Amino acid sequence: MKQKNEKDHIYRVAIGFLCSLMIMVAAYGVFAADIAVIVNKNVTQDTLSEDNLKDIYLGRTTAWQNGTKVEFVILNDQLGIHEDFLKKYIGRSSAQYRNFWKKQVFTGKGRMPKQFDSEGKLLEYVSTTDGAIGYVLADTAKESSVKVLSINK
Amino acid sequence: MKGNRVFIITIFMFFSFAAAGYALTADSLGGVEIHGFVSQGYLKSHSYNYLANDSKKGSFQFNEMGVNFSKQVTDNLRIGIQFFSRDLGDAANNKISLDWAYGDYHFKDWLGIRVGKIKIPFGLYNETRDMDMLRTCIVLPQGIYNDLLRDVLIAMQGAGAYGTIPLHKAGSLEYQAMAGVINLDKDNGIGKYVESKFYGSLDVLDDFNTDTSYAASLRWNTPLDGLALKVTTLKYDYDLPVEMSFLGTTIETSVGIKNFLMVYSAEYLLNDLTLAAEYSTTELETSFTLPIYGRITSETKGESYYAMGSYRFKEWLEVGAYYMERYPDKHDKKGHSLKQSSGYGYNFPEYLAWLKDTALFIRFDVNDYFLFKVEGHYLDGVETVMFGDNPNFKDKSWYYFAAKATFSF
Repeated sequence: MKQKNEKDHIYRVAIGFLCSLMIMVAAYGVFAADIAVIVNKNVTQDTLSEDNLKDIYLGRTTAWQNGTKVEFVILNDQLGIHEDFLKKYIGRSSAQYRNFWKKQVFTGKGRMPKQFDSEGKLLEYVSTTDGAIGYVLADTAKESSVKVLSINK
Repeated sequence: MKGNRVFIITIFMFFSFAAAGYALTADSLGGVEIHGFVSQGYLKSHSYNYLANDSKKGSFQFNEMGVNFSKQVTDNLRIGIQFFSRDLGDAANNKISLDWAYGDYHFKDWLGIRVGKIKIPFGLYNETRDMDMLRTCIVLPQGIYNDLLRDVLIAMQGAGAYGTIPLHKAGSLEYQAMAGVINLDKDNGIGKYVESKFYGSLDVLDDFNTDTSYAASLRWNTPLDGLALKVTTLKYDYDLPVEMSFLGTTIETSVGIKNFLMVYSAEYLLNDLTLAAEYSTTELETSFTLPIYGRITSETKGESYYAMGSYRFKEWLEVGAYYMERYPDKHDKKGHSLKQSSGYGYNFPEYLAWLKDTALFIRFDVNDYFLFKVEGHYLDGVETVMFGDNPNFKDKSWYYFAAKATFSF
């Protein structure tokens, strides 16, 4: 009888764990989908592929199609949006991404991306800087004077 | 000596500013960005003095520090300079060197040029080998990234081209190609390495330069997210001025070294997981002239390979391991020929023909500016153990520990 109760308890814990995991995964998916990639209104493009976006944030693409210089910016990695953006579009953790740019800095090949502590400051920068690109939560993007890009696979 | 003091004071001044909350940003410094790092390590080995000449009793002669200044002058032009200093036992001894200094003109994403002293893109880690904060392990696999030979691999004075070519659905290709000379300071490790490889029968007399050297790399960022494949090559040759004993007299001559190296690399990043593997080949020609015998030349083909993995469990905790094998003569992996060449007072055990290194390491990130690492190595074989620091190769298996703390900004 005692053994049966113990087994039931293990099953309950296992099912509980799996349900929590599924909820976390679902929540992550919903949360990650809510990120909007925004650009300055002078950027003529309306869409970007995921590969283009990745190339921009890894410094491999430095100009828009019309020749304007790309000014990509990021949010502080203390904000969860940054980690979600990196995992969804760049395929790196925030530590790996920070290391990637430190490698550029310490070999003279580049500089650390401009970083903002809040979505508001990032929005203001993107809306007033030619060629700027950044990301915020989709709800934040609705209220601002920037263009939201459509990101294709 | 005075220069060293100024360098160290400069480094600590910048750290003091950073610690005091001053922003060393481009905006506050007229567009000039300043970054730096200081690493201090500790080595403790069993059986052999390794890397540092006094590691058996425990050595703090294991550090690196650097500071760089750079500025984006125009949208296309970037200039920068980095000063560097390190200590590795009785090599280097915190002399200050110009690590890199170049102008970079970016015409298009597929074409840019660099002119000046440029880092050599050899393997996955050579360009960043001195910056401890940019990897998980402390000591890189020595079969490819030999710390005494750092100066031969680190940077060349010349010019190069680079760029990224999009391949659309097939990913992208990044290339670099360069030509130039490599300046070598005999006291920075290369002198000690050559003297040990000749079992103390010669002394390197002076600093020297390579003839024109060539390096190139091609990196394919594959369509599989996080997977990159890379091939790099380096070709150099130089003549070392040496003094050697011969038939009871001392003669001055030179040792000629020609080396052609290739490294094939794979790297896979998946969220918090980092995997890397590299295979390297060397084609080394060594020659020197002796009275009566004339020019004596030997050629050996070597190989090294390793696989490494690390996983970041927490923002502050990353754990990893690697396994590496190195054979300086791939046609004598068991060391039979080497053992047979013993004589004239020298005893060459067969395990001098290889080095097999199993390493486990842990990295703790206290914050964005400070980290601490510990690692242990279990080794089989003594290739890359320096004869000059260890006159007897008595143990086939041995081990060592390393710890290192790094500040960077």
